Amino acid sequence: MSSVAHTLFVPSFNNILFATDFSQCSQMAFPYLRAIAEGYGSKIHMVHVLPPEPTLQVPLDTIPELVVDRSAALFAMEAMLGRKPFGRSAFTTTVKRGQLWQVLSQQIVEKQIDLIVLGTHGRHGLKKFVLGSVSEQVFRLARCPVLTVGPHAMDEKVATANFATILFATDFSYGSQRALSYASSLARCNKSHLILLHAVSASMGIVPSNFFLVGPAAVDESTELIAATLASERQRLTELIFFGVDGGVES
Amino acid sequence: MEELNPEVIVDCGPAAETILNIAENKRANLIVMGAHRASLGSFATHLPWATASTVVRQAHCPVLTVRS
Repeated sequence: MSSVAHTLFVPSFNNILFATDFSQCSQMAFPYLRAIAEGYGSKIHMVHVLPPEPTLQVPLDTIPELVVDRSAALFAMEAMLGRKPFGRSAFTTTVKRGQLWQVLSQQIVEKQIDLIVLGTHGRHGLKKFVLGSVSEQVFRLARCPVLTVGPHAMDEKVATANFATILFATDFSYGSQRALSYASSLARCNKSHLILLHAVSASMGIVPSNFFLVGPAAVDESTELIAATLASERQRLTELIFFGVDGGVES
Repeated sequence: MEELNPEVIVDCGPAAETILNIAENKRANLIVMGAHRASLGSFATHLPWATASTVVRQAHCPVLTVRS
């Protein structure tokens, strides 16, 4: 039975990367960063990436929001930290110049990052928000989970993060099992009400190959599938508690 | 072990729209979802990247995307 333990996946948030541009948007992520870091005893690694050396042709004064100067960045970092946004959680700060993803991916490896937290910009003046290019890049390229505090998440300003209700959206693909581990871990840690949602796709004429029923008739099937998924997750956790992972976890 | 006793909802409709609607109705504080890069042969069985992207953009709460 010990071989079972090797297949278990236990989510961890030991090292959180917080990529910030010092904007108001990115500060909206603070309550969430803090809540997760405190719940999981994580260390927060705050990173600001300075754009590559500007060429003379680029009129930088047209983008006043962008912090391009190292000393300005350090000053902004100080100002941000002065408000003690992370409570008692340990943190490190890094200001580096370079291509955004190059710098971040290096930090991810170096600091053994297992969660990235982002506050995202919405483009002003557009009815439909588009994610800032930074967020879009990180969101697409990162292999570890990404917590994005999107433009509309800021509609309700909060001082302390509330994880009272967690919605887990699943399609029962192989990959969603991993996401479920995160959802249930966070729900346990925060004593949240967990909702499992399966959106049965019936659009675009695409019939998923693993769905023999598509449309409203699939509801019953899905409910059973969810129950089965849950049971297997419960089983995995029970095994984890009994057998431990690499002998490191005890009941 | 503490029981989670989750609430189960199955809804029919376009994924992103459904997720956003339910999140709104249930006043979810966090959305967790798996995300996949679309790839040939498996695209229809996975929550495509576009779904996750739409949810992140429009959700009124933070979204945790977990890559498989």
